[in-house]
Amino acid sequence: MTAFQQIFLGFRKKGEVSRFRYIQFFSMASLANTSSNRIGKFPVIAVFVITGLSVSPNISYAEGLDGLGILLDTGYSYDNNLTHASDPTDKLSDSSLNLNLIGTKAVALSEHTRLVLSGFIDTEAFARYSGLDRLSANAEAEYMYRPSGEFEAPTFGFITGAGRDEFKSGLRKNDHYSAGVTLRQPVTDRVNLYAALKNNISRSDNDVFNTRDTSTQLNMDYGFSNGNTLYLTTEYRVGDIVSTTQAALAYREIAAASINDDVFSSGQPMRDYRIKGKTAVMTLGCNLPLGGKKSLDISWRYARSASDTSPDNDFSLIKYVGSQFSVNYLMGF
Amino acid sequence: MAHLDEVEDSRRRLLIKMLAASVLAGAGTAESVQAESIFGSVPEKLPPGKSIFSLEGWVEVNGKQATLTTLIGPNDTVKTGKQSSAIFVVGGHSMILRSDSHLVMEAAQQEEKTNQIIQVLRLITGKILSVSRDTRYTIRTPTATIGIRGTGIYAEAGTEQTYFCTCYGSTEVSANRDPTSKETVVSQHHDKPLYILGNEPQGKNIRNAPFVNHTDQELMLIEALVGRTPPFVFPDNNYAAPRRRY
Repeated sequence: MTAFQQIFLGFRKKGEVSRFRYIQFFSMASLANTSSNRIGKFPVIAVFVITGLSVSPNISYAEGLDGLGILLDTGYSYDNNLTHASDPTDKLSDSSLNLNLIGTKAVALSEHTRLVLSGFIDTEAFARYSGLDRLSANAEAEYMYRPSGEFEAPTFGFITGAGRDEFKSGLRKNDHYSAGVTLRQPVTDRVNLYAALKNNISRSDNDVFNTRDTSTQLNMDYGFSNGNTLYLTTEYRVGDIVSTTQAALAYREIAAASINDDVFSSGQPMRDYRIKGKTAVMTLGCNLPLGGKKSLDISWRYARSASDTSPDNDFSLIKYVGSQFSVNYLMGF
Repeated sequence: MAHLDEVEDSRRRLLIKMLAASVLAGAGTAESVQAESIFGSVPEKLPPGKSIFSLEGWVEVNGKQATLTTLIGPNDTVKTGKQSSAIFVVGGHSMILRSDSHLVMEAAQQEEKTNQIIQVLRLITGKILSVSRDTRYTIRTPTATIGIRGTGIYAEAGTEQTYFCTCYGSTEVSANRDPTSKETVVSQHHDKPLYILGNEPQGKNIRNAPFVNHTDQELMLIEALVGRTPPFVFPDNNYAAPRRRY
């Protein structure tokens, strides 16, 4: 029995039918993680996610599970430019299923300050490019200050985080760290703002995936009709970009580091290049409450990157664009 | 401090106007008003002569369709239709009445014509979030009677079951059809949500419930409409519908 099974069976001692469904739920997760058959793996995870949805109506109402501060986030994503490539022939797309467990605990330090501790376990499995399959563990701490309990009072925060990404791809395995400041500001009864300025560092065994960037983020939540929320997130990153293409002189001239990739190929081996650049990301999404502590989240993410410098024999910068479409089901305990 | 408040107020209004302007660039006054209703309003203490902060969908007061200028008193009846809601104030009570709700208020027996004190809230059906201070009143639903002494509460009433959360403060909860099912709840922050049932065996008509369908930010909003703040500083996001991380 896995640790997951023990935890969840411990919470739910009543009802053998429910117990069986939890076992089924997490056994499929184990199977999905251990299967080496690419053809079989993706459907297994799909069944796992669907089964998760089918058991979910009972979970958040199960006695003893409410108020744990745990969020289950599972869903499907499609990315049309996984390689962050500018040439259409190098742009490779794939779909993925993901399952994230997020635990949050707020610790009051005083009337106006608190520490919010979060832990995340993320898994992602791709349909085609199995090297991108990932298991991540992250921890985050945010120190918050709010001057009053008035509706419009802002919340200021210092945030720091660390984590490990275990990709199947040996090149991409990394430890990452981030630190920054945050601001949450209710504006009206419908509009809430969130802003963050962060420095992000990723440390890998190879030089290409040793990256560093500074990001500014602004999110606006717009509440409409019965708790539904539209959100728009904009993010601007300055720092390292990793782009994967067929070996190209233009990239080689401006790259700080490069290496043969161990995941992608488009007829020929492809190379990873780390270049300095700027990335603008916009996410437009809609969060639809499904009653209780469940919701459906649909989002579209658009990223546009450009190198800081152009190759010697060209005046134009190296640019790429990419889109990601996601549908996620969220359930709070 | 008043000066600082004014500065903050003007900043907020400027922000709302900027948001509105991004949608209705170059628009006139009518469009600005429309944009403000699209982007919502800053909740602040309602001026005398105003009861309603916001309306959505179909809302009736004493059988007539309500508008933002409709006055609501402590003896009035408020109904909401499907996908409708009303946020309003009666005296020191501030409330959100959600969709498909039917609320009948009864005033305390006092001689003054200006009496705004509610003695009974009869939630015949539907969902209500309400805050008050230093006044005793009673909430009646088809299955429950709850004595309240100035606090924040959330209730959902059906014919067979009532959901009740003492968001903060103290309440006396009892099942209408079972005098032996009683419970006193003293809560600091949504500590003990309850179901009050109608058809269970004696002594078993009150049960623990999960936390559902109301948020700390809503409590902050309705407290602001009567010039108060809730007894907590940080809204807890665990009480809202789950949302993906930023």
